[in-house]
Amino acid sequence: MRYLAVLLRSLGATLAADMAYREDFLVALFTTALETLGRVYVLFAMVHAGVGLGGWRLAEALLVVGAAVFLLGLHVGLVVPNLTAFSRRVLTGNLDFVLLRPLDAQFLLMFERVSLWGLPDLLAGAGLVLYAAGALGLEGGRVLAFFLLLFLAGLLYYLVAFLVSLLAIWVVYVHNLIQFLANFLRAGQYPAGAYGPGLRLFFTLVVPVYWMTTVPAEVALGRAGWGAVLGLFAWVLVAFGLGRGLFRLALRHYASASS
Amino acid sequence: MFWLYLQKIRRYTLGYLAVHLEYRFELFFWLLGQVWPLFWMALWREAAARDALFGEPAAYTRYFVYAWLAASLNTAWSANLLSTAIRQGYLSYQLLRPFPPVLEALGEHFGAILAQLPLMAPLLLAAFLLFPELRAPLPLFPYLALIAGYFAFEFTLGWLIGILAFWFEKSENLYAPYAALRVFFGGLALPLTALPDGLRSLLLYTPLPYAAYAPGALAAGWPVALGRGMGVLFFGPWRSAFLPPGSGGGA
Repeated sequence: MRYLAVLLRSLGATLAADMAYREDFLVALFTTALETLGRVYVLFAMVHAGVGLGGWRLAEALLVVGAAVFLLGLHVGLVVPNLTAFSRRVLTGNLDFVLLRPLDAQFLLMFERVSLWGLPDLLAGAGLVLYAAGALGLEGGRVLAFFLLLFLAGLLYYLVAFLVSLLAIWVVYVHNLIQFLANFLRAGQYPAGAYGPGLRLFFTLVVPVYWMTTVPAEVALGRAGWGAVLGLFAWVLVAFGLGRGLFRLALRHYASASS
Repeated sequence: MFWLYLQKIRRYTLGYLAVHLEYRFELFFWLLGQVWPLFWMALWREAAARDALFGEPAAYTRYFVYAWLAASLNTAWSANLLSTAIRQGYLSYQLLRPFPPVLEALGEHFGAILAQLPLMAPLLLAAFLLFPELRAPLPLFPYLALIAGYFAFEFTLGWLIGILAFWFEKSENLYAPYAALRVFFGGLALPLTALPDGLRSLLLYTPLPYAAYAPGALAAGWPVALGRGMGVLFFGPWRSAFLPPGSGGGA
């Protein structure tokens, strides 16, 4: 309960700060519209030119694009502001002030702020998914399952991003590292099978974008069953456990400003 | 005056080179963050091998690798630099110096590009070993001229957008729509040969395709109208915006 109250308070505070730049938000809205149109158009042009998408039809592939855009919204709205702040805290020694607080440090670091900038991408992603579901004639239960899995996928993405950004403790400045992760989401906007067997294996086992974007679509389309859902769960658990362990290890290596 | 300015740019380049080398780990990830066009190369090679496309797989390898190389060398972030300098107020200090602040921005760009080169080398070497078709020579002078020309264009555009921060306080995000268009119509997301002819020839009168498509197509051996490219990058938008039609403004 205390966690929830703190969460709402800090989210409200950063939202208010963000809304001060209104033109900024309008431009973000416009950019997202352009980017979403561009993504869909590129997909259309690729299919038209004869690039196969691993046997997926256009409307089915749109589900995957929607999932990737949705996760990019999460990236912009939650992952970037928090993890950039984390890296800056390490740089300035401010991390001490987080560690001193009486709540869990990892929770505070992950949910300290939120940016309105992510909202347009979240809306565009959800819109694409709903449009594709309508075109495919998917029933409500399947769409709901898609969004539930997408929520899990978002959690997995954030946990992996947190894990990677722990490198900040050692190398201090990791802003580009966070951008680097978003590029894998960009690779995840096409069905994993389209990349050929080698890269598909890479996206399944090394950088789990297959689980984040392709799996929810496959489950919604009825091509994958409980096995895929359990696999996604397992990835979330592994990422959470690893993140916990490495966070403790990293803190032992943190040369704080005061010591 | 000119030589003095050149010397300033050189000094700033060396200074920023040192700064960027300090954070080389960060630079390395920036470079890795740019490799996504190479994933898409896999998509297109696969399709070309099935004979579904115009051109052979080898041409697509050359296209994507050389387009990627060009795009990582000709990116400019001058809008961000100027807008931040205005908003945070340190432009005032830069204006107190006896030379224009743009020289420092140029030096910062050159320093970052130079610092990137040694990190790029192993990636390129790996690509050359994996794909023998990359080893064939490419028209080096036009290729470099396109990179330099597009960089000059994007740096200038960024600086102009940065200036808007005098009115809006924060202007780097006004640059985002152009950056988005560059990703989709600049040639990194897909070779413009895949677009309908009408749209492609329209795009070729905008600066967008010269970011990555034109250098990539040059390397792949597809036809590129170089003269028109240079015209668009250096004269087109500026002269046609300021001169009435028919007075020699069109490029």
